[in-house]
Amino acid sequence: MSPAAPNTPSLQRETARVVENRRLAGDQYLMRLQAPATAAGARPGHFVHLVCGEGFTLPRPFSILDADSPAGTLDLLYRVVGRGTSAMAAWTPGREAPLLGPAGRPFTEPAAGATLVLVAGGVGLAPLDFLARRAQARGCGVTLFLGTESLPPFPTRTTQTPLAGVAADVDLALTRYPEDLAVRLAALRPRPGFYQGYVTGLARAHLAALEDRQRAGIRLYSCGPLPMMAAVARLGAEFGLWGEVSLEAHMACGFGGCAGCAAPMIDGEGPDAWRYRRVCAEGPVFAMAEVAWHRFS
Amino acid sequence: MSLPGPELQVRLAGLELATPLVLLSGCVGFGEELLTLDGFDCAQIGAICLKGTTLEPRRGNPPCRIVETHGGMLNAIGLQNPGVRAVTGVILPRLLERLAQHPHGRQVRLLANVAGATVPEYAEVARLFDDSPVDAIEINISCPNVKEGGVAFGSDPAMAARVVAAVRAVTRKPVITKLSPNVTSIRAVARAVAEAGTDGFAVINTLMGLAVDAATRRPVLGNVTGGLSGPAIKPVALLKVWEVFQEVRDQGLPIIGQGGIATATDAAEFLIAGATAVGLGTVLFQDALRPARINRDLADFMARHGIARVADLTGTLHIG
Repeated sequence: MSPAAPNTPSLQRETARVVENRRLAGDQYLMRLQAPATAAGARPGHFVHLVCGEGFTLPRPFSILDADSPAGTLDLLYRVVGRGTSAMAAWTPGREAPLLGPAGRPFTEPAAGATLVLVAGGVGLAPLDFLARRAQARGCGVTLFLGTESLPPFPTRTTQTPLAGVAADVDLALTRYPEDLAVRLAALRPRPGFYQGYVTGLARAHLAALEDRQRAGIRLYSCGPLPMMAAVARLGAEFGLWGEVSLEAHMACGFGGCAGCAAPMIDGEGPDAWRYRRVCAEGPVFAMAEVAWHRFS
Repeated sequence: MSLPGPELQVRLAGLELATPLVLLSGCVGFGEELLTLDGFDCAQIGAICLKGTTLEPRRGNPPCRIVETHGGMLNAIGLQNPGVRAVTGVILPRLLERLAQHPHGRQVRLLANVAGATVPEYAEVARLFDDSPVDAIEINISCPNVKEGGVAFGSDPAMAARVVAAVRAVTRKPVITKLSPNVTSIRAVARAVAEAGTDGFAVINTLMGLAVDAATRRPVLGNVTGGLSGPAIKPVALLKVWEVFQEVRDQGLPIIGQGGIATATDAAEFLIAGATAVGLGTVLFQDALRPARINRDLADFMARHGIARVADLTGTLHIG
């Protein structure tokens, strides 16, 4: 609820149709939906608010993993965590599901030729995957770090391409991305080819190993668990890097009507200068420096 | 565009509403967001109740603010709003401009929703709205999610009457009082605020509830308690509309019936129980374009039953 004008100019409500819905690994699923009106306007960072069926009062928000405008399709990467996503996991091709989208404020599009460092946690990979592929197509250099305690959602391969600050035996990448899109994985428990520890530790090692001039133009983007994004924001502050995060919140309306999905944002100077903003309307993408991380309860 | 079939227009506290559907406070912000939704048709709605507004800006409650429950949801937003001066000075002019650009936008009536921690605060917010383009003022004496004011006023007939009288004294616009179901006798509150000069009622606000996370043994909501809405509360809401209707029918005071309405049949039930218009809230979270379908189905229902005007349904519950 702010005096700022809404910034979602072409929100669509349409009945999507399931084209494909399959388990990837562990409790992670990929769903492809025929939703041409939403797909046409979707940009990295947008989300859809998906009705999970009769018996659910509230739709569920999902970041868009990919959008193919000519084909009219959207891909969602989701993890089964509750009643709504459990119901979704059983959907078969042809099922219809109303949705609202493309919703929210997307990531700021990086300048052509910029260097991006992306830090993802779990299915927080979804909007960063979309951003990574779009940015690379525009000539940006992209490095993606994924922290995951379950199996990675996409098939892995080893890579021989060195990456600054990363040990040679941390050599697992994902086949989904071309060799020139650098990917490394992290997990807390020991796994061959993974960095052992928090994904933010891996990202920090990389950033610290870069020369100042290499680091200067880097844009940081992150999506995943809140403590992880807060740690990425600290990295941004430590290295003086601009960055954005995509926040998650319990959501009711998805269009800015209810203020149910509030997140604390800095609003002026001083420790008490902050206010709640709506994740669905003013977000889900916020500048890292804008988020009042200390105010999350 | 004229809607086919039976007449959907209603007259509520002196306001002409194009349809009986009112979009409820707290569900559609200050109305601007819906206008960005492709296909949203202003011709389908009679009025929008704006987000609850206080004298000064309010941050609102800490997250988590909403949780789905069986057949409904709990919310505890805590009246997050930018304060009345930002609403009248910045948001309302922009909203009017946007409505003017939207087909049929000018016919949408706007109700300010006024809240406060003290009687003078209610009066001051109402006074500032009186000098604004809103068409009517809804008094929120039933918000369950704030520490001061809100339902504390709505649960005591004498206090409720003081608030209404104070607002009544500073505005010539129609005054609608939004009643709480969290009271022993809603009829006693209705009677008191009718005597204090309200022009109509909104029945009901949410029912107080609690959600518990068994794994952590903590409340789910940041505010601990919240307000229950959605289909789960419909029978309670119908009863309260019927009770208030019996109390105020002789004075001809209209009721905006609300609580779990999702279909035209639900709407008809509220009209029959005594409502003049009906409010849509939680259903909009699933389908913000639902008003068009409800109007179409309501017109079909009326045609099937030989009813020419919505007003002909109001208060027609047969007992015995």
